[in-house]
Amino acid sequence: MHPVAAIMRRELRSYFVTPVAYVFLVIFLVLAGLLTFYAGDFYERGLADLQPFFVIHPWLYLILAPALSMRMWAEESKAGTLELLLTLPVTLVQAMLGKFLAAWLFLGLALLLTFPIWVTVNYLGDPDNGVIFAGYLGSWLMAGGFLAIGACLSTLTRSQVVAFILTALVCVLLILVGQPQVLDFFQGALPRKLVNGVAHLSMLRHFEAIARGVLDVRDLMYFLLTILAWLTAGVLVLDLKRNR
Amino acid sequence: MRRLHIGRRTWLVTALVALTLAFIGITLASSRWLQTARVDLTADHLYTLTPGTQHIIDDLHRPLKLTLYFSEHATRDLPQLRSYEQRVREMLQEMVARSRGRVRLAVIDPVPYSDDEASAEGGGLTPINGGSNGERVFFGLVGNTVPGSEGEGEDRNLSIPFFDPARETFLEYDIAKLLYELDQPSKPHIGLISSLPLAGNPAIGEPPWAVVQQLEQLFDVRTLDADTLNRVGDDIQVLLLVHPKRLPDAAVYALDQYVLRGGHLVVFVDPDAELDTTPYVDSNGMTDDHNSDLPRLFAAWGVAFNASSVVLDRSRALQIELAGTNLNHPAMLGLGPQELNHNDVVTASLQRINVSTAGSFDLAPDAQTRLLPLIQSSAEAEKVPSQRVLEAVSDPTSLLQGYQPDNQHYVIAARLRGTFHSAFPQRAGTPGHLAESKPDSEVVLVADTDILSDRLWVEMQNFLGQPMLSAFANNGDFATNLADNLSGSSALLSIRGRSASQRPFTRVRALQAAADQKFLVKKQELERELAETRQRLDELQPVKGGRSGGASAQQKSEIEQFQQRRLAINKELRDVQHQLNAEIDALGLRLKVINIVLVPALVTLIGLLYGWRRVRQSRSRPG
Repeated sequence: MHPVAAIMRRELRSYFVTPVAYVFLVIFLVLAGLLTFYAGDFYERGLADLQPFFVIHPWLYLILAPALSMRMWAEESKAGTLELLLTLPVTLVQAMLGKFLAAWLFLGLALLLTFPIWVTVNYLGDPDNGVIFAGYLGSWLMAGGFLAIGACLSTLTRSQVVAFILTALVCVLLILVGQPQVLDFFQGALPRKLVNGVAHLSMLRHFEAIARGVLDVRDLMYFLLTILAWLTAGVLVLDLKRNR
Repeated sequence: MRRLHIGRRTWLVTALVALTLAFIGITLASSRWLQTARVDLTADHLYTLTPGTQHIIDDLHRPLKLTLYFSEHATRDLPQLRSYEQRVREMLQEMVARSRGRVRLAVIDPVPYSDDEASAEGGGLTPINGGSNGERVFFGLVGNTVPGSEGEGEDRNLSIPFFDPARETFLEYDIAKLLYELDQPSKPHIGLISSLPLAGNPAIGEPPWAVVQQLEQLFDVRTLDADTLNRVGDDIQVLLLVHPKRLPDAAVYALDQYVLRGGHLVVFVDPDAELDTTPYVDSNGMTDDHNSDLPRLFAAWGVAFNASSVVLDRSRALQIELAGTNLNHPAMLGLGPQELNHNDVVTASLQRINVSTAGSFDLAPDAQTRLLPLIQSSAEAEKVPSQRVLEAVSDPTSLLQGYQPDNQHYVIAARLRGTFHSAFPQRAGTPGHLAESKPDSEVVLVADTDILSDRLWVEMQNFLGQPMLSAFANNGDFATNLADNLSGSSALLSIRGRSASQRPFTRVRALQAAADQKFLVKKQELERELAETRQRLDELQPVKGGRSGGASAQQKSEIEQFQQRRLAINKELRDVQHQLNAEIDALGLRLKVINIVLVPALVTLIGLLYGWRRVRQSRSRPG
């Protein structure tokens, strides 16, 4: 088996042998349902689309993606298994990719388990399923972005708590920077080009662009680049640690 | 050895910095230069230029210049408008990219008291108030033909005064229309003959109906007077005949010959034109029905139309509010995609047409023409005398008594195609008289005039202090499509009325409708009972002028009973209402439980089972 696949399988297994995975899934699903139906007024607004469902995803991931990624490397550092892993016949890149893909697939599974909301909206009306598909894809890509950030930041520290906080902090910045209120706040202080540039770095903006039903190369590129850049940065940090 | 380490660390740190810079650089660069590659997953391809727009852009005769005015500074506090501006700009850029240099775009921020502001106003833009620091907000488009360039026709200057975010679904159409109109050397001519006040009354400040306003943007609309009409000019490319009543023979003959010469006629007749303002009985004692017909021409063309029967359709009934209650009006119909002909370019892209007290067309037994339906009723329809509908004004639900669906789709609007024969064979000797048309000539028939009235398809909305017309049905698009199609330009058709409809919870709506129906039946039952009680009470009233001295004991007890019964009935009605709402709430609750509890419970169960198996396995393992 390819080393990446092997590491991914090992990681995925490790999620499910402890109750962590189940607790995580239950929290994700219950929160998604509660927020969609109560905060988003899904039923009362009477429209056959999943807008109230997808609009909460950035905020859900803000808590859950750091929780999933914090243990990726921080735990290995603390338990002393990092050295062991580094002696195995796998490269750092392969190890990083394997762990990341495991977490990404796991969040994908969590997303798939929200299928009752898709069944519900199709039962209640005649939604645009193309848009819903785009919403799911955008959401999963955004989850990947957050997880990649978490993977990188968890290489920096031995403490899972620190890794969690750092990741959440960076993620909240990437969400907020796309909010019009924040952009408008900077509009006066910074040149327009810079503000536009900052807006292009926002995760939220690209997610919303995909969730309205259009797969634009620019948005896909953004997520791909984000994931690649943060994973590469993580590998570089690990390399730094190894050569310390 | 140590030196080598430092070298590697420095290299890694440098790599991290380079990575950051590269990431930001590539992200910004990709968002700037990779602009057009996208896959539109929406069902109606909302974000892709339609073939119609592409066709218009590809066929431009002359170079055009577009100027988008957007007040950057004044919209700092209007994030909704800012994000819409981005969408508008992207749409314009896409069109510019497609035009290969034929269309140029400039974006200008008209700051207060600048030349730009003056040119925005001069171009016809309407600013709205409400920007930051009370500044006026400009957000519109001015389009010009480039003077002195090749191509024929007069120079034009057209504008979209303000981009209303509520019209987002029509954005592409609005811009494509602007390009199309700019490119036209001159507007096609349309004739209008009507006994309804379609053109408004400028004397008393009454604006034309929205349909006419919409037509006037695309066409040169000329109102013709039926009383003096002897001949329809050949320059009239489409003639709209609305609500023809008592047309003089000369006018009928003019229409007859216009059609036989190949003119395009659209006839709107109606068993009950609700906007007909003539009194039913005037001061001279003349009686007048509010219906219209074109008997002589219809007979010659082989069309059967009954001006005194109305199509009811309980499954397409529109909801109206009458005396505080919502009820379904079976003579006012909301017809959706299933009732619109999707193979005809005129109705293909429309979502919804509302009609009111419409009639229907059929072919006469000896007809040599063909009827190609554009709008039909559902199979749940029945036809009733228009008198019954008139009598049911105060209680439209009474039309549902004894309802018998005919299992027939009634034709409300259609193209009539074939060889037409003159309705005036006796004038065969007159010079220039035509006895029959060319084969495959065409007339469009519509059995409702209310379809054109504002109340069935537009409402006035206030957007930041500006009155804006906002359409809730495609009636106006239907009329414009007809004129477009018959006058020979079809490019705008595929864009118009694209997915204006929201997607409601149809299941909840159906529940609601069923509940309303049940409530009404119950209400009528109880009201009848109340009326009976009241009548009994009246019978007990002392005869006028008779013995006075207050109510008798029997009356008193009857009054008391009446009061109590009324209270009880009101409570019963409230209970019925409550019970019906409860059904909808119960569905909501079930869905909430399924979505919030079901899958998490299953996941927990699987986790527990898996854990239990592992524990059992590890126990059974020796050692």
